[in-house]
Amino acid sequence: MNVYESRDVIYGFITFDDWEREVINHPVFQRLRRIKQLSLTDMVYPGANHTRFEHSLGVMHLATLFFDNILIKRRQFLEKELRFDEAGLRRDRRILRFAALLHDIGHSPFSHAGEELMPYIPKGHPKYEEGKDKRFSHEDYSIAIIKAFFRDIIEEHEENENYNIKVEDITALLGDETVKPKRSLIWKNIISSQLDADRADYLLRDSTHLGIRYGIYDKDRLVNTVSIAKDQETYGTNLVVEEGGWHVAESLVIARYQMFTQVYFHKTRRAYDHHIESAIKAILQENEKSGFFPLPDSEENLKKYIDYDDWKIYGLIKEGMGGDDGEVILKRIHDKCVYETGEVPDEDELKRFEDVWNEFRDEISFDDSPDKSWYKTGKEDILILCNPNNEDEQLKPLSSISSIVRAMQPIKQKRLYARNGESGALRKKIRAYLEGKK
Amino acid sequence: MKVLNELWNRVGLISKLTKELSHTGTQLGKTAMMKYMYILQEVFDVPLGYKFSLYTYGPYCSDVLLDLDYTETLGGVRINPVDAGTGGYNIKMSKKTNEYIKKSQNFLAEYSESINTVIKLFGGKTAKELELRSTIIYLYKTYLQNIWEISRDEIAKNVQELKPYFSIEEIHDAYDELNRMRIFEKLGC
Repeated sequence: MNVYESRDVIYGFITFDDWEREVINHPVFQRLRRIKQLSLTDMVYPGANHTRFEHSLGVMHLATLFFDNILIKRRQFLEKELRFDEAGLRRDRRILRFAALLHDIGHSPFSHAGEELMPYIPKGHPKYEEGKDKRFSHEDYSIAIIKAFFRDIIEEHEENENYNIKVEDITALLGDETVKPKRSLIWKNIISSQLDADRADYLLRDSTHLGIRYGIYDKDRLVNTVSIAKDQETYGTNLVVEEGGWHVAESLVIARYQMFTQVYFHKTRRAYDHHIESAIKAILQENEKSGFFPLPDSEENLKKYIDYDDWKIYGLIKEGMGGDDGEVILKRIHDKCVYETGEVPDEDELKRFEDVWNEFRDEISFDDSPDKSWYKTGKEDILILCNPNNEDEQLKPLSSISSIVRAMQPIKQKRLYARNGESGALRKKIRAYLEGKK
Repeated sequence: MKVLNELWNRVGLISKLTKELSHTGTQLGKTAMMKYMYILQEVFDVPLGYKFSLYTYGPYCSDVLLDLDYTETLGGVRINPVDAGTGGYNIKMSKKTNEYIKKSQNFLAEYSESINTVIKLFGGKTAKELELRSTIIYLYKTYLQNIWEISRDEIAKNVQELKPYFSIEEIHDAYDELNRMRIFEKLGC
């Protein structure tokens, strides 16, 4: 197998082989070059133009570093307690790399901004539940796309004679509930958990592209101390950080907290999440009639879905198809925040917020809270492995060791927005209203 | 306001569970709270808006922990670290526990039968027992959704593949107990 290298802004070089190169070169994967990692964050941070393409390569690289280090540190644990053998581990490493590479393949245009435009799960679908209005998620699209477009490349590749990998082995790590969960589910933690390679990559990558330092932590130390262990409390196996690395676990949690307040939940960025979602909705109402993306239920519909990318949406907005919100984006005349609570509001603040919302409901364009955002932040209790490989090996939550993490509180800030041009007057009215209530 | 009403419902439920379960003599920790929420939403259809996913440590949704920590911030519960042994946490009543139960009384009344049933059936179980049972429920539900053949042995084998520290006998016992509780019937079988 030939080995190829790609330059990367975080790791210097990312390597991959022929088999992985075929996946990367597939047009559906190349589409990720046309989906920006942080949607319209460039309206606030002009450098935020990086894409899901480089992030996906980065997650594959970092997930592999995690996996390889776990093998160095915990081979005995994996072999004796979880009954892995050399061939099994080699196969799982392959599966993990594909899963990491493809974890974002189903993203809609402008990343998470399209999440609310996913269709509801229809009756008759295995995931349908009576009385529950559940939507498909980008993970559902990722799973469907991998099965529809990457099966041949992965399963029929000559190298697969050594591994016998099915695409379902890969989608199982991305939450595919049509696959019986197996022992390899342990590696799902590297793709999606408090300690996953996904966020470990995007914190560094977003910071670097935006020109900020909030998301920077000591990646090498994290890789060096990541491990797996049995939780004595529950008999579950989990991804953990060795005791010697608890400070880097702490800095990872702080980095996430800072990035949330400074970037992901930035009030102007959130306004643009609202505007791009509404603009895409206007486009979908015209193109799909339903106002939602095509269902992930057939190859034909999936082809229609992946035809939507940032470029197409930008083009349609420029042609005037994005409605009022499209105009807002073109002219950068976004809605403005007119009222907000503190980051961790107490009961009185929430009462006041609801009161303002009730009083000025007709003049408010939209309300926002972290509950509506894909990004959230709180204590993020990473498990710390004390005395690894000893008889008295024990897991402790990071918050029981780190006083900083212990003091962290979940951000539940609420905001109200008004149309640009109306915000100044409304802000004054709200202030006068609250003064009058004192 | 919908988003706030839903928040108060979840805070109220966490407070209610803490009030009813923190004096059973068994440690009520974060894992246990996670599994109670899972069972309430997925078996008893209490609408909480969580999106659970299966891991080797059972069904998990980080939003439950955010809500739990926020309830602590509001004074609805106290979460104290346990010094020895498991290294986990102990969730206890706080000065405002009853206040938040009252605040969401309509929601709690609407689902009181489900909440009381879960407390009666699962109250006092350890985190380990709850994790095993919630994993069995998750798999049973997945098997149902996919119309896979369900048998006690098949589910037990699958659970053990994910959780090799449990013996087949332990898993069978938990499965039988859930069966006696008629949990599987509620899932639609």
